[in-house]
Amino acid sequence: MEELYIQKILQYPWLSSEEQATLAQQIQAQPEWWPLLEALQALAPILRPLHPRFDEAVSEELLAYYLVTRCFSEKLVSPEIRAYFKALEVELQTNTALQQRLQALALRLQELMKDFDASQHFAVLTGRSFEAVGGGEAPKVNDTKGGSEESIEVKGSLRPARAWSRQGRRWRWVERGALVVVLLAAVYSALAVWSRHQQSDLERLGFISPALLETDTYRGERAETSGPEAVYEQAVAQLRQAYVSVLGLFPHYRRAPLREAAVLLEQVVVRPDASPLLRHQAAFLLGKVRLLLEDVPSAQQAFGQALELDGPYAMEARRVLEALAELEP
Amino acid sequence: MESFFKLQTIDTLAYRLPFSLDDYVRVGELYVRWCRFQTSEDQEVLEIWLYCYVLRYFLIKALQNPKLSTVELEALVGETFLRLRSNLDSVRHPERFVAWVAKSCKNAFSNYLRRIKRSARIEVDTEEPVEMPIEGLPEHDLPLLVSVLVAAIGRLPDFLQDVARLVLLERLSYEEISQILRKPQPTIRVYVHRALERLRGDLELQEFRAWLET
Repeated sequence: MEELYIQKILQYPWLSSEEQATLAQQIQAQPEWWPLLEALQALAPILRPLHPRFDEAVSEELLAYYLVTRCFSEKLVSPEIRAYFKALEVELQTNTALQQRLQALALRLQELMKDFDASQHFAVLTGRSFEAVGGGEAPKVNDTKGGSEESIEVKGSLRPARAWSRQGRRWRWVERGALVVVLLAAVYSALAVWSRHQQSDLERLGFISPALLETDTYRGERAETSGPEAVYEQAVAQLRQAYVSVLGLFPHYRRAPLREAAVLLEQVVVRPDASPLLRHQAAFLLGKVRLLLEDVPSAQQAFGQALELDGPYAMEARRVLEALAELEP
Repeated sequence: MESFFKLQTIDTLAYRLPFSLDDYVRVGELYVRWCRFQTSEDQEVLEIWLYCYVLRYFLIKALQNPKLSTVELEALVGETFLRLRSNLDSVRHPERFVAWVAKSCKNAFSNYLRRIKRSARIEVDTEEPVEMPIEGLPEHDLPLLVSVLVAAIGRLPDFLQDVARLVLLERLSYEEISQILRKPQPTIRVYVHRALERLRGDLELQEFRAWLET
């Protein structure tokens, strides 16, 4: 009987008022228990709300507290708080009605948090933003009924946060890429300017643009192997071989192929069976080649011929001749 | 009952906290230190804790009030957090910082409920059918209550702490406690008695009780 009293006194804060009154009467005859009862009576206002009866409406707050707490990281829940929820967890194992209430609250929580990104919200309010932590577990899809079929799909609730995060990462990569491109462009421009300054006046005037080295035959027919066109093509092939450059920077021409090209172009210029247009092109190219070989008088002569023969490069030949005249001391 | 989904976006913030959300002793220490030195590191941790506390408070309330939408929740959390943040240096008793935060949250939620009731009444006056919001504010702030008790148990002598935890937090019987702690039941009874007597005389607990009653 005494054991029963002792146990009941311990439950005092959670008894109904009638039960409390009955218990107080019952132990009036046992003054050794009065101090314990008085201590519990004094603490009752604090202790009673801690463990509401599960059929009371006020237990809704306990369920909500439990649910929200468990949704926070384990790290943030102290062992004491975990211990506090043990009684509820024991009850939940057998109490179907309680499980259903918790399930309903879990759905409500999912609905509330579907479009709510706490990190973003905090960042907006304070201007402080944080990367997602690596140590955090991936969001789980779980249930509140210990593996029952009524599992809660919560992936949707995390979508906005993940989308923000993905978008943020993507933009960071785009920004980094753009920065790299800008840096490369700046470096290339600087090198191009330097490369241009490294060139002599003759090299600059003698530069042969790739367009000059394009040859085409009428309707794609192969040129004759021994005709002036063929010789011109051989000269052009030598010029292509002569050109050396890295990414268009620091261009220079190897002398041996240049000399080969010069010989071939001289042949084209004087060949009577070559068309005037071909001879004009050959003379102009010859002028450029001789400039690159630093033979200015011969170059002037070749440009003069190109001018005489008239054609698409006549104006350019005149401009080079004028530039050469200015260079003369 | 072990498995639950995580609120990842809260985790991202809360992982920055060097203590658990309910460790009010360390929160109090942090606040006192911030008041003295005002370092940006302390300020950051304080703001994160404050935000997480306010968010958790209103999430618990929102779960019990189906009328409260995500937008309203966000607004309540944002407004309350900003108000508290801007008044951080105006807490008269730094040792009661957590109680100050808790009370502010409670007031903010009371004001929200009052606003809702008022607007519902206006709509009723205009003869539009409105569903009245769920009944008022629960009497207690359960997370605060639990944490205050946990802190009070932490102030007990070591040999009484386990007994107090098992009796008051887990509500175990003498027999169960005796088995867990491997001590005879009469010893457990004496320990329980002493623990309760000490808690009854705990000044902070008395103060909190007085605050609850006001």
